[in-house]
Amino acid sequence: MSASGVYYGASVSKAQPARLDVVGGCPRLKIDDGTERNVVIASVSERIAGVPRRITLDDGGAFLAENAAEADALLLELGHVQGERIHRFESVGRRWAVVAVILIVAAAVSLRWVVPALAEAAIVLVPYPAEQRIGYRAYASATSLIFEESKISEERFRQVMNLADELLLVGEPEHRIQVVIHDSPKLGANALAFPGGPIVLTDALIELAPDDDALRGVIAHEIAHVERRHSMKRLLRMTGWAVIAGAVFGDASSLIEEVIAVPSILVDFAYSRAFEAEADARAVELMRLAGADPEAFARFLHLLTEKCGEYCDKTNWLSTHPGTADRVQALKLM
Amino acid sequence: MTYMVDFVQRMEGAGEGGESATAFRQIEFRGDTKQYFGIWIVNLILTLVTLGVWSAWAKVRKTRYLYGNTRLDGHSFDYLAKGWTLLKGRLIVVALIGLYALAGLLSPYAQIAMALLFLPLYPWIINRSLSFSGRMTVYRNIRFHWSGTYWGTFKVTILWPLAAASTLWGLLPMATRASQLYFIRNYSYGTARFSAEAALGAYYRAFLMALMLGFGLSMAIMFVAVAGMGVVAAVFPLSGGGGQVAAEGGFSPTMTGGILAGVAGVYLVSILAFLFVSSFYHALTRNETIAGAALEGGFRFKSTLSGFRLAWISLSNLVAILFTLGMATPWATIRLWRYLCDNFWVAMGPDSASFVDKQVAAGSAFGEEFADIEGFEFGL
Repeated sequence: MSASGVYYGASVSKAQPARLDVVGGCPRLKIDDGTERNVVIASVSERIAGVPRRITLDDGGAFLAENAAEADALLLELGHVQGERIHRFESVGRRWAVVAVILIVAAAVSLRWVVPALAEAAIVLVPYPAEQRIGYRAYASATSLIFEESKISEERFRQVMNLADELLLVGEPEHRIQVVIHDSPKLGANALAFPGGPIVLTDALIELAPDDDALRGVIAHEIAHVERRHSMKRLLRMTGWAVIAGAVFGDASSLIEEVIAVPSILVDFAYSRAFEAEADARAVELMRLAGADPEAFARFLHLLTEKCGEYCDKTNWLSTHPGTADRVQALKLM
Repeated sequence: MTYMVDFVQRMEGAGEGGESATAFRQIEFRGDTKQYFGIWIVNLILTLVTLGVWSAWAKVRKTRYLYGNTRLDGHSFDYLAKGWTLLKGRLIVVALIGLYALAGLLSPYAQIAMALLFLPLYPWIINRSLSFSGRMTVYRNIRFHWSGTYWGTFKVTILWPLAAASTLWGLLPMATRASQLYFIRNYSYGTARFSAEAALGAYYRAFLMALMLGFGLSMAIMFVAVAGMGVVAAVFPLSGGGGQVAAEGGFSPTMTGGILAGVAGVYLVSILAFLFVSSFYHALTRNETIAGAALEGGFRFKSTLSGFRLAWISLSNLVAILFTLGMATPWATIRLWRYLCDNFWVAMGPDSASFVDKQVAAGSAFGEEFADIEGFEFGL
């Protein structure tokens, strides 16, 4: 078997048309100007569509085969069979491409379940002190931006802290969770839980609560978030998506990574609804243990959302909390 | 085959060609999306299955496909790197990033200290990367060699960007020129050096045009955004009605969602606009630098990119990739590469058969081979 192509001597750019033959089981180089000699092959490049096969000789020269089929036959005869497998997969016809696309889309869809599952598994690797530090650091930066010193009376302050301590005791959490109260004009009536704590209650929330049981409900809900490490899991999930998006989109285009960040965050919102439902369930459990009335919590949720009119009752893909009607319904069933 | 033989013979008979030997020849790209799709899909599947380890080999296959199907004067380029080498380099980088992240877990100060420690490494890493990718690129059996110095690279990758940023981008054209000229002047093809000359004025012209384009785009976007918000407000009135006990400015879940969507939208559009304008600027400056480049032996170059066309290609590529969940990536890659090739011209010197490559000493004193790092680059 013989392959035609171009021969370059070591380190020179002069291209000499030549042929590579197999003579007596050995490769023999026959340059078109008449010279010929036996050569020793040092390495062979892998086959890739459209790229001349590069056969490097041990004297530093190189033979570039123009015809891929000829090169394959020649190398086969010499016993060089590597470098073929991947090309065979890459060059399958149109039907295979369709199958591949379907597989990829299926894989993309399965990510919806795979990444959260991986995050659940990976959380074991995050030590609680590390999570607490992350949460505390986030809280520290948030303090300068949106939290101000609480303006409620000292008596009320102590009352609320007692409520919180009660719930913390009853739940028997593994780690100490800090509860703090801040005034936050930007957040309004709200409650936040940072990874590993602290739990932040706003003045407006405490004022708005019609009774203590309602407040217990919210605090219990936030405690559940910290107990179940929801925020940390969300961080892991978003990292997971970012990594996979990086692998898929990779260096496809400039600034693609920045653009990918946006849908990654939006996709995560869907999962938060599951976490909210989980937190609600645990909150009801804690309230019952503390002898409080879970209905008060449902009523309070309803009250909280009166400000946004009808839109809160419908679950939409942008909200991190399922619509109140859903939650109230779910709470009633518990 | 005979086509190639003709060319080779014409090159050998130097000087007799006359006109044809000095005319600008276009770089030819013979690849197509269909072929590349197969390569891309297999790369993707293997990369995901190996949790990213295969990405090194994937990069090699992709680069070899693009280079190998790119031809100048009938001869193709090639990329000789091996997957293992790339993987080693990437592991080093991952280790460094890991150290940086771990420092962050200790304290923000530790992280800053680590960043300052790594800063001097950066120019060195870039030099290694440019040297590696040059050496691995071969045309007619001759490799490209990078000869940039530590301080030269330090100036171009750290000092110039700082200078540009601190003067509100007033010095950006100077920085662009300095960086692109440095890049060309420190490469050689075998033993033949590249050279480059370019007047500063053209870079400022490109910058001003890009600024005007950016300004025009911002106006258009703001107009559309305001009009859009008006429409949205009319269709979805937020009931701000009475009976609210909570402090004003309180966030309800849906309002937060709506605002988040707005912020996301603005962020997205800004990125797209920035991509458009920077591609435009890049095309113009690249044209200028390449026009002033030359290679020992009488070779000259020309770039005929259209600012608008490159900007449009970059933008539509990005949008297409997003909307097809990445499936359009191979098409986008080929499209951009082809456009760059179609607009790159080389005027061949009288004798392209007499180049000689640098002899790379085996086992060099500084252990070059162990620290072959790819991926950190700047340039055209």
